[in-house]
Amino acid sequence: MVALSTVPRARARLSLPALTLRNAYTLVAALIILVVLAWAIVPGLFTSHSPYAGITREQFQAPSGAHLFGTDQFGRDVFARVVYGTRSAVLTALVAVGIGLFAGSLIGLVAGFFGRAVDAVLGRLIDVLLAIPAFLLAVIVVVSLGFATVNAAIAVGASSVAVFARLIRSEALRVKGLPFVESAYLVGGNKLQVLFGHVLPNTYRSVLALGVLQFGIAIINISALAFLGYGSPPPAADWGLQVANGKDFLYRYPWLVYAPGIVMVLTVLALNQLNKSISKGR
Amino acid sequence: MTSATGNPVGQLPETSTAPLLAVRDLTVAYGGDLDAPTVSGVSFTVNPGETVAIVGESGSGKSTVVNAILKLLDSHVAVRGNVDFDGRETLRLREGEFRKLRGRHIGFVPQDPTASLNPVRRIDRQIFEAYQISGLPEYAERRAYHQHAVDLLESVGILDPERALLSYPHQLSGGQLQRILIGIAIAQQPRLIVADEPTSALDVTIQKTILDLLDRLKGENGLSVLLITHDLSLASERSDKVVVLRTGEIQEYGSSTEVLHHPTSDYTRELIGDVPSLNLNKFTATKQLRSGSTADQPALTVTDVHKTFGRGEHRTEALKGVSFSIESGRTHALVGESGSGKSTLARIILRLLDPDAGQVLVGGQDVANLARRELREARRNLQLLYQNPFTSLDPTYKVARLIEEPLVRYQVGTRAERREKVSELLGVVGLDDSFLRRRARELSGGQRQRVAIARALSLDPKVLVLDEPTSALDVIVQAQILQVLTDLQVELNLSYLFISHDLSVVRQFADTVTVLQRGEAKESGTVEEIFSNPRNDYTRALIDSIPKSIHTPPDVPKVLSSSG
Amino acid sequence: MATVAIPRRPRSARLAGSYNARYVIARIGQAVLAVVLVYVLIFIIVTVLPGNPVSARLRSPELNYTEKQINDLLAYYRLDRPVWAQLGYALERLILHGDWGLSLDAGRPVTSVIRGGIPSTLELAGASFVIAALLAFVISIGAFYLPAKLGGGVLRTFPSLFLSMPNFLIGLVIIDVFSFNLGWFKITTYDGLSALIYPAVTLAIPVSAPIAQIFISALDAARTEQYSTVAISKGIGRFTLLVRHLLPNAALPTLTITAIIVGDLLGGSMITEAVFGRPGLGTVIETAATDQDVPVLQAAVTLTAVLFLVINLIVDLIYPLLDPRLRRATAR
Repeated sequence: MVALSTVPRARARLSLPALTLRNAYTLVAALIILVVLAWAIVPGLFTSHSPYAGITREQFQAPSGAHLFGTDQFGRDVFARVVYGTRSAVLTALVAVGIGLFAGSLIGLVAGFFGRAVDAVLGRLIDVLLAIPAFLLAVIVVVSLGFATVNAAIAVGASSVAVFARLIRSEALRVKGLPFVESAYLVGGNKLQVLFGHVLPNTYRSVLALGVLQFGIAIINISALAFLGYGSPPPAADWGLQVANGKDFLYRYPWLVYAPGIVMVLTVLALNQLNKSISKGR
Repeated sequence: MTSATGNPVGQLPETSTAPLLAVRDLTVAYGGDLDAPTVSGVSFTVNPGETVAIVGESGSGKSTVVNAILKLLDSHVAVRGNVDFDGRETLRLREGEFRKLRGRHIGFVPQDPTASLNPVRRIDRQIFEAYQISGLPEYAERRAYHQHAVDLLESVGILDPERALLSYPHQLSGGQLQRILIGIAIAQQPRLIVADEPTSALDVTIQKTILDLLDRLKGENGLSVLLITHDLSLASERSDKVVVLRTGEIQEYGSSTEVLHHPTSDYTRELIGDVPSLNLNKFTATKQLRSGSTADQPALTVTDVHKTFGRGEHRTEALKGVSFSIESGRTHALVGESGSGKSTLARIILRLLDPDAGQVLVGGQDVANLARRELREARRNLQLLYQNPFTSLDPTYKVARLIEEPLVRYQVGTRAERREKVSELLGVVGLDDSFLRRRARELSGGQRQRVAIARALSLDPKVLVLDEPTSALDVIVQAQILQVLTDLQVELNLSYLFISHDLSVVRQFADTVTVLQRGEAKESGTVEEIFSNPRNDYTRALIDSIPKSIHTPPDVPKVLSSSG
Repeated sequence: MATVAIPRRPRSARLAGSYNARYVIARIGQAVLAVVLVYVLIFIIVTVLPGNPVSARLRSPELNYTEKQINDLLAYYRLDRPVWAQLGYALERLILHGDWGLSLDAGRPVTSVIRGGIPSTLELAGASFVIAALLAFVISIGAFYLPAKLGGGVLRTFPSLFLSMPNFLIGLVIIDVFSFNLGWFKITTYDGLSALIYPAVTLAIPVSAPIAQIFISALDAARTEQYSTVAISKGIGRFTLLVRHLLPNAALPTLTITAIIVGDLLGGSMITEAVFGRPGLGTVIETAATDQDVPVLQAAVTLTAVLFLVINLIVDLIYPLLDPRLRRATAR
């Protein structure tokens, strides 16, 4: 607020910790993402339990040293199911973001760069896509394609096309007006050379930041689809499906909901933090 | 660090009155560490009725000093020293106490008037706010606010105060807004006005009227003024004392005349040597090295160019038949203020815009009517140097690629030959090969503009359009860039079209000049003719707006003694 | 679900006049066109994507239709004709007769299936919107004014945290804490205010995040603007600065994001209703999706898009009232 200039008696060192604190957040976020990626790639390294085979007499065990996140109604190790569920969560979210990023970038870049009639048509399309609540759009797509995790990924990707397109369109419009783009024409560049040589590289950072943010949103939306039963059917080890399974036992065995839930929240939170760091250019 | 505190140089004329504002040993550290300060050991005083100017280039810390005095710094910024206002220490004053001084005793005039009024509140409300907070008896009655505001705006030279009061900021011009902001600053009858680069965002002729207004109000109300500026000649013209700042430290402090005539620091001497209006013949010697113009036809001829934007009500005639030509190997300047059409004309010459009518001849070809393929060839001879090197170079490219790009686009030479050419061009603009692998954002403004020159030269053009190439740069860097351009003209026989709003730079740098106003060429001729004998009122106003070198050092020859 | 993007009114809105009848009519026309396009787009998605669900669905054994019923529905939707013709018939039915089609489930008109769910969902969305707006306001003002040590820094992380929590998880946590552990309501029999409050809070938390995020950064931005410095140097206090200078400017982008967030509100209500077992439009959509009852789905989703477009239209129209730069006195 209205600044009070402090006149410190000794040496002031207020801004330094603040600076490192933000870096610390980014570091922790990066660590979480690294762990999650490692779970996705080599789940076997992190748990000796099987995600599918359960021991019936060991059902509903509370979290302990033997079962870090406890066990479910079939006596399956919840931690193992979370770890093995990571791959599907990460892969589907990756597919979703890939679709949204590719289609959205193409639409947005073309609309923003070429402008005029092209922009009028594509801009309308973006507006219409934005008018349909993203989650409902995903539901419609997944209903049309059939209930499966891959289809859920495609659906969530389709629902994020408009968000990407809008950002990249406005970025392309901004970059297009900068003097260095005009300069590129003056030194003999043609439209395509300028588009791919100057406009695209300069929208890269904000696209990357949005991609990371959308990655987290995709994890949430895909698991929400799974929660409602529009993903792959049980016994697939999927985070959203695990929460859905756990909700029937929430009263007596809350860890069935909390364990996969907290992992999911931490993952998305870490992605949001990375998004902030990227857009601030740190 | 044993900081150079107090008066390093230049003894001040003794005054009997107590100073209104006394700054002693002011040290500011943004990082919070006073051992690594942004500003260190700054001391000066402002006496009642006096104008003191703080002069410095970007990064000199002049704004930091102002923010410290006005207590506008963030709370984590470390500050040491003393600031006394009217005998009272204010640096350690609680915010609630200092607030009583703001507006009522210290008025503030900001740098960019178009961003300095709340865009969603009406002008009158923003003036009334000052009345309301003042606690002055004449502002006790709210009903009288309107009349007070009308009188106030009249006194700062607003022609239709009633209309201005009911306007929103976006409906008024920069000059009008700055008058209103000055009005707000004096509304509570303060004793000190702090003006932070009050004219740098305005056109030159408006600049003069705003500074005249400040001078007049100062005289009428017995105000003191603390003027922050990057322009040493303006400072010396308008102020009693000058503080020259560089990287947070005082280089020079003394009366304006003293500082200008007998500078004691090397930096001030360099600065004085580089201020265009004090050195109108700076490049004359270099220019005489140029070979006589050999070609029989001009390098560039512009004939009767017209351009109109919009239609119906929104129709504006940007250019109403402008003609001029540039002799080969010489510099022609286009001078005018914003809206004069000079940028439109430059864009037409480069064929970034199509003219409605007229011819642009470059090397015998009419650029204005070329087909795309021929135009591409013609542009090899016609390149542009942009105003702002911070936006004209792609931040994702390295220097080598920036300079090489034109060669690649025109498929000039082999890869190795291009490499060699790039390195040679870097040398020509005074940079070495270590710059090749750096990105534009790692360079200073002057270095960037050098890279931009190398890039523009890579296709060996005959004509360069220079669009205010130094207006984003500091004085000393500006002088260096102009020197580079002059040297290149000698070496490569380049022809320049120099677009500028700054007449003193034009006088230094150009051979001939066309003065543009609202799309019309008001006057044309050699710079010496135009300067010594302006026939047109507008030209005269432009020349008048150059800060008068009333303190012109005796060793600098006067304008008129030109060699032609 | 909530996405944060730079809120920007379309250029048409920024240049328009505030009380200009032609502008208002043009905007309404655009919105109507958008509704039609939404309907078409959804039609294309459900018909053109592989695995055309309608005819497959009709022959599903669990529905147990007679051959005649199947033929009647096939004839009604003209499923024998090319896709574009089907679209034409659907649009014709909708525009000329206001007929949204027949549900595949009971052969009932779609409107009667949907109508039941609307009031309850509007109630939930409305309550949730109010809570989200209040929450966002409190968080933003707190984050902006409180020094970092007194919680301002923590408050600044709230939007990001809220954005990371899936709706269904928040709902389950609320049920666990307030119903199971504290016993404030019974999940089986709860009614009245508590039947509204808990789902509404669930829905409000993620929705408040983007609003707070934009509001905080808009306040920060307004504070660093030169006009704030000028206002401060008049000698005004921080409260006056907030009310007269910061809020009126920060309100503009915040309003835009608030209108955009309505879409998330409607999408999220589907999940929330499922978690709390609260009947409503979301339940209708969920049932329709599970049963692949495409006509109901199509109509319900179009309806939410209409609501979104109406609210954004209203915001477009009040924008010039808040920002004089968007007004054009009498010209045009």
